[in-house]
Amino acid sequence: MTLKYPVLAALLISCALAQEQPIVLKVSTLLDGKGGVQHNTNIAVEGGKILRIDPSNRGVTFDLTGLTVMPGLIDTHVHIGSHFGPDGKLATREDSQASAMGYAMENAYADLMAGITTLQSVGSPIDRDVRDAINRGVLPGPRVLTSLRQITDTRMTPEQIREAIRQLKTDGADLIKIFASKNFRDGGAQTLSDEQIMAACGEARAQGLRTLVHVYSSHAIMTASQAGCTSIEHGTLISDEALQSLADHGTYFDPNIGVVAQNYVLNKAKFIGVSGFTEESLKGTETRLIPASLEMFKRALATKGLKIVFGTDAVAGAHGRNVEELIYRVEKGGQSPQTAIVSGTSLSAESMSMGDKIGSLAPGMDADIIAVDGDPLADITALRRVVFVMKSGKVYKAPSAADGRQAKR
Amino acid sequence: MMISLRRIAGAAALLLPLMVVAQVMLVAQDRPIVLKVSTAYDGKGKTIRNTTIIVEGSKILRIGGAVPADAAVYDLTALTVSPGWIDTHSHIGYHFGDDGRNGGRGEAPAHAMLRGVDNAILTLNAGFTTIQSPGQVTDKELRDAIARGIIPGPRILTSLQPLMETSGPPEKLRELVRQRKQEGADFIKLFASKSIREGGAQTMTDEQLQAACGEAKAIGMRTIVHAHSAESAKAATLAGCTSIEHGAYVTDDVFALMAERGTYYDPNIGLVLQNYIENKPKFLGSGNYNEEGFAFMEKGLAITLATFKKALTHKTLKIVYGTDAVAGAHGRNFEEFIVRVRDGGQDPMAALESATSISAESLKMQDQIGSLAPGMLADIIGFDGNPLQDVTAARRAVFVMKGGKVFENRRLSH
Repeated sequence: MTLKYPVLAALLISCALAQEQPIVLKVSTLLDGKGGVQHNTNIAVEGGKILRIDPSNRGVTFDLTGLTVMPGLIDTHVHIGSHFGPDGKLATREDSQASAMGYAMENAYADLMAGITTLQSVGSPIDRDVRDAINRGVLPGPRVLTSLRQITDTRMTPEQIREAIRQLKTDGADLIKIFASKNFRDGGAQTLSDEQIMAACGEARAQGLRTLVHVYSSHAIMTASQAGCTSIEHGTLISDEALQSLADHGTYFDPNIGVVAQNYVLNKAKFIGVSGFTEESLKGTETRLIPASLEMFKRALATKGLKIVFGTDAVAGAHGRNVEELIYRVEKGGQSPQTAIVSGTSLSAESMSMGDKIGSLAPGMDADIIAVDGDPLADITALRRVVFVMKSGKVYKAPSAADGRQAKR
Repeated sequence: MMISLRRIAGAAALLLPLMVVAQVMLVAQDRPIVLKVSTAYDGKGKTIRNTTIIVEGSKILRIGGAVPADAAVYDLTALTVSPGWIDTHSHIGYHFGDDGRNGGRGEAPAHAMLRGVDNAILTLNAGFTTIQSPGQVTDKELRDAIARGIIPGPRILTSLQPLMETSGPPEKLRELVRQRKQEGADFIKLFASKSIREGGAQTMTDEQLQAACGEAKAIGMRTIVHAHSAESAKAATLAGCTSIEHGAYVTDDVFALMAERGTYYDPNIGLVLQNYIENKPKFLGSGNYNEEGFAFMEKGLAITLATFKKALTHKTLKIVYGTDAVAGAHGRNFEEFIVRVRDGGQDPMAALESATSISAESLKMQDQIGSLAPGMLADIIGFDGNPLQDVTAARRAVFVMKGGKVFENRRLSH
């Protein structure tokens, strides 16, 4: 008697069955990711995409009424391999590659369960392995884009930089990560020269690759925006002039004010003594970096036409708490909830040149859909309560009849 | 706007298509959980009807009695509930590589880890909440990652690297056994005979077996022994080894000895050979997976079935549930149950006990897993249908809870 089942039979056969009929989400409140709000409708999902958003869709599969349905969140700046080791401290070297893989998968899983359906990891070779594992469709995780490595060596000539970028493209990088400044705690001075920055972003553009630039110095920021770099990361000391330059050039800005520094402070004991962190430098983080970042963010908000995207710079301790960035920007920074949500969805998608696939709820878009318990427009902390996660039409987290959830209105 | 449970339940009743929801993590983890059951098997032969299982934290608090006010309630009355099943012999890291061929060995450990996670998730989805992997070095990272509680997967026990006749003389074997314990192995795996493809004759000497199993026993470690020939199974039993694996040619007198000694028997008749045969092109050409070997395996189906039937006649022999799952088999661990009952003639309840409480006991974990009782870990699964009445229901574990955390709760079509 031969068994007919191929590998993954149960999953594949059931997937096929599930695809015969659309999955229908019944929705009472929907944020479309572009500033629009819809009420009392249904989202039909088929073949991993949104088929229709229409009250007349039949056959409800998930009743998400009482929740706020929105596009999956997109974190444009994480470090997926970063984790605390068995000794509880930041792991700077691995016991083994396999062990590192286990931690990276955990981070990816935690991020997905927290509503992050796409993330950009900048960057380590391990990102690609995690990405490939997730793409096989068994391990739950977000879409992963990666820079694989960084452009950071100031001794490289412009031609060597161009060559490095071409090599990254061959190696399969989704984007280029560039370090153009020292860290804030080291003063934030410009490291790569203007010529080097221009070579990097110019070659990346020629290769069709986006660039994310870690930078604090205003001069370097302006050089970067003029050189056609795609997005500026961190930028705590940025001047008003540089902010305006970003707005004028259409360069995206990713300020990271609500998670990364706070996470260092919160998990002080796990970072001290490892990789340059000291009691003193973390005191500086608390008393200088955090307030400076907040002050800078308010000026960024006031800069007309500036496109602020969502990135957390999540490292060990922060994965799964990505939404704290948006909450902080609203509660402390004064950003409007709707603007914050748009920045975390369609605007981030646009910055990744993926605005036609992810980041908004509309027919034809990939079905990356989450639902939160509460109304984030009234209370942004509802983002902490992600109760439904769908990615590419596959459900990874769902409220059940057991949940007893109550909408907060 | 308040959402009533009744309204949600009403909406849930409208759910029509059979939904595959991969690794769904349910939200209500901090509160007590109540499972409403109509039919549940406790894993020890008893049927529990029309009651509630109260889960608090990672354990079963009690069965029946008052429902805590803030509990999250799962209605499993349409399902047949059982303790999570246990696979005592699953090579969790073995997989087909990127080229589609058998690639469990010699691959970069990091990539093996990623494939191992896939296998682990498929295994958990199939209702298997604990597995024993006999084993390879990379099992350790996989075991530890899953044990951290974030990545889904079954509890994993591992032998790390197995020992065999070439591992050294008796004194060296004793040293290696102690070394495995230090390295973090949960048990010791020994190869005491050739493979079924090669005829299964004894390879380790009696002295080697006595040294390995004796030392393991002395330091509190279990030993599971790959032994096909009657002779090798007998030698391992006399040496005090814990469990005999495969045993295609074991005879009545050896089964009687095993029963007398309390040595467990792990037959693997429903998945391992079938999987090799179904996936022949992917295995052919590596090692002893040649045409001759495959011919032997085809014959092996009837041989192992006959031996299993023989084993069943020994009423006090403790038969555990192992599949010898390799690449291609993970997630189909339930096929073993189907063949044992449908073709082997094993009583379905006995087969269920083998997959639960008896296997748990063989792992020395009977106080934690393998049965539904207060104080046990909440490893609880629910089948769509009743495997004791329709063996194919074993393929349909639609509710999977491990350690009180719900990993799967598929919607049923009605």
